Amino acid sequence: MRKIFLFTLFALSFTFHATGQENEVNDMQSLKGLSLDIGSGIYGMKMRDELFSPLIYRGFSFAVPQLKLQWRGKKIQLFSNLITRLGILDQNVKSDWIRTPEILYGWNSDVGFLYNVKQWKPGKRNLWLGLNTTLKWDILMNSRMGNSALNYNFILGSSILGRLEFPFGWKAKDLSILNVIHLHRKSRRLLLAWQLEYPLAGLLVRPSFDGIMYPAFDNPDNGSFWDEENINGYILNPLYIRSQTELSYILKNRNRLKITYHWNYFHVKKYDLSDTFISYGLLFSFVFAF
Amino acid sequence: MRVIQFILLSGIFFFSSCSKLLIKDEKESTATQNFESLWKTADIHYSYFEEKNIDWDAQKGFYGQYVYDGMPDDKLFEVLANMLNVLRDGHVNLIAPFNVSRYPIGAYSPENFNYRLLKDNYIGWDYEITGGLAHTKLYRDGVYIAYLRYPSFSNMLSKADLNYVFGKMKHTKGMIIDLRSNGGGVVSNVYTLGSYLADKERKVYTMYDKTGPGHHDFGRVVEVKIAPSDTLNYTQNVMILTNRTCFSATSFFCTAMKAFPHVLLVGDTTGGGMGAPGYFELPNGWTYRMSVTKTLAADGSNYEMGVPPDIPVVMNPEHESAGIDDIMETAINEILNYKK
Repeated sequence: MRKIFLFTLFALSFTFHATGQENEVNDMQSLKGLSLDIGSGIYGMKMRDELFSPLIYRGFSFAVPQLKLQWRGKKIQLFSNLITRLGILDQNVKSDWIRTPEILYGWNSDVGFLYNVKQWKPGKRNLWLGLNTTLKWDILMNSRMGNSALNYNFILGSSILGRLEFPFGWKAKDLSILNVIHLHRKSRRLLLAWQLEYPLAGLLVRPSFDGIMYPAFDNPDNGSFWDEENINGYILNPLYIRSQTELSYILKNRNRLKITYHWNYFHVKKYDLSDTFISYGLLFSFVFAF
Repeated sequence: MRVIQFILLSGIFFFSSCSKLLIKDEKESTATQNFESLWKTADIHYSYFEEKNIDWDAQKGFYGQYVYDGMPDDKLFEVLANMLNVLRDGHVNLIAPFNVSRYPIGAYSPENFNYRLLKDNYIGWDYEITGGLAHTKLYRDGVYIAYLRYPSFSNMLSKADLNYVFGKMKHTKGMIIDLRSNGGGVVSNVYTLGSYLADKERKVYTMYDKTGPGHHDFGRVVEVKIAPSDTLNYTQNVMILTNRTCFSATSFFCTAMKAFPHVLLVGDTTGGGMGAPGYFELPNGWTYRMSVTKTLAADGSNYEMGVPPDIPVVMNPEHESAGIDDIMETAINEILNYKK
């Protein structure tokens, strides 16, 4: 057993020495250029739409998948993002009776840019500000309710983005064990970033006061989603706020492993009846650098 | 450096923990809360208070006295259902896991429909069934009369179905469409079937959507028209047979057909149901629905309480015992005596 342990340590040290000769990523220059972020994850959800129900609905959804194409320069970041989600929700009332959960599906796509307005030290902390255009659609199918009642919110709008980046890492010292085994440990580079989004102006489409769309009562002359009654313009109304906190681990070949924590908030109020939707989730992704 | 770390960590903490603050969880609901929720939602959403002359505030006082916290669920259900039945609307239901309340539309009218009698003495047992339609031809006084039985607007109608049926019926002297006891279904079938009976495009009814909490708050207006089908159009005399349990989509169809001069309604007044239902929930998880739109006929008439027939006929029980369907007979005679 002791022999096996020593052999393993020896083998490991050999491996570490072998990789130790490669170039290390040593600054944020490696993030520049075109990259494709492919990820997936799970979101928790919580919502209450008082126009139709006083109940709180909770559930989860899967991001299937997230795609983000990004170009990053010294002063500018351009990006395009698409997330499709599919999940289920159930009400907060406990019951012994069988009931079917709600089905939620939605997607949001973003196109935007960020400008580096402040760099405290070269390759260190960065503050970016930018604009984002969002196309977001959440659809909730209430299968329990006879004629398949349907609830939805659709947003086409622009928003302001703030992004704080905090690259960090450590340079590891080589490790020597009993002067026999020499472990060469790599320096690690990581990027912690927090991005916050606040709406500027756009269009919000929601069910009108009488509600939901009725597939059973649909008719050819009914404008459904796009009726004037359902479309509301907004300017500087905080009806949605999105926060994302990213931790990226930069690999030697400029690719990155990334964990993103999303927190999304949606809130509208009309006639003293509010609709609030919160989702929060972890996305795991791999970023291919081209 | 430390400031930035602090901001980052505070942000992460804030955005991961404040969902509980933004949507507050509530404890188990009480009977009083459920009663209040139902009354208020009906008050701001129900669309026919004025037409039915209902004093909804008075109902709160009357039914509220029977509600107390801790009362059994079935007793609460009974009180809430009774309050909803004041609305006299078949589109109003309270749905608890153990029961469904409903307004008894047909309870105070004769059935006016006997399918067994119809099959034995009029249409036979070998009629065809195409899609959702049963159909055959009746032979009377040397002429053929088309007979279509449509038992539910939930049975979807395709153009292929209707092309086949109306293709077979195009040389008949007239058509009977038997909608008796058709409780409604999918309104898009109204337009599909209606287009095969349309002589030209006509406005058939107007829908008004509730757009605010007041009893008068109706905003969006949708004028519904039916245009002739691009394949076949039946413009001979058409008799639509109705009874009191014709409801919802069937009443929409009957209202629409009143705009076409070659189509007549024969039988009893329908059960109404001209408001599209919206669905809501109580704090205890029960579901309920109620009319949240209203519909007026092309001439402005309100048929929420039922579409009246052009030729009122009630089946005589003695005739029924003798195998005669008075509504059918009236429709057949109308077609035979019809001259263009």
